Amino acid sequence: MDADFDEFLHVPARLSIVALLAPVSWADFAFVRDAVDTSDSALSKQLSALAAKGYVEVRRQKSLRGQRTLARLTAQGREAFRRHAASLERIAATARAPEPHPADPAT
Amino acid sequence: MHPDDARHALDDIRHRGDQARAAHLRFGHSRTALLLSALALFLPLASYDLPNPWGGAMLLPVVGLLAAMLVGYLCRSPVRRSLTVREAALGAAAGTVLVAAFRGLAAAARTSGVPAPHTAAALVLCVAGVAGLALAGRRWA
Repeated sequence: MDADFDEFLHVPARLSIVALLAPVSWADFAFVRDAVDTSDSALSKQLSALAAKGYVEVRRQKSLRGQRTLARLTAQGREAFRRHAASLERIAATARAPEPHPADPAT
Repeated sequence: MHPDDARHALDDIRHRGDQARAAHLRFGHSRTALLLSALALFLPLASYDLPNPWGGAMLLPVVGLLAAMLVGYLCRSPVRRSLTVREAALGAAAGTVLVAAFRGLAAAARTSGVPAPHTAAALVLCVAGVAGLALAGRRWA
């Protein structure tokens, strides 16, 4: 397996959350929950796991309409995601690469 | 891992990225955001027609409006993202074009004998800007 492949990150629910957070600086908890179509408790569990690993930072913010929870990728999480996505690209590319001909000399 | 599984995971990553970018655009191109932005542009441009000190005093409500927009963004936007270098460059270019268009329109309006040339030019620019951004937002979101 590719060294950059991150088994922890590849869990579909986690990968979806991290992919949502990757292009933004902060995302609202409710937005992430609705976008990945999950429950509050399931999202909380995944965010806690990601935070424990140091990939995500969760912050609570007081607003006029009550409390709001925001999440963002840490620098470590961003780097892990970038490497994991690059690893997926390499794995997907193996399907497109032509099979080596048996007569070709090994390099 | 099978290459097909990797490709599906990459498709999901792209889809999630598109969802986040679309949410940002939807908020920025909402009717409220567009109208407030147009007002924040219209007031300082139209104030050139006002005599001193009223022209300068018009900056106070504009600063208040911009502060309210910032608070609204921080409290209500589903996602936040900072400007990329490309977006900042595009913004600077758009600002330069806007100032040039405003000067040209105001000069044309003055020549045509419009009583408040800067207000007329600001109105034309704001209506064109809101229409353009609303159309672009509908296309991207």
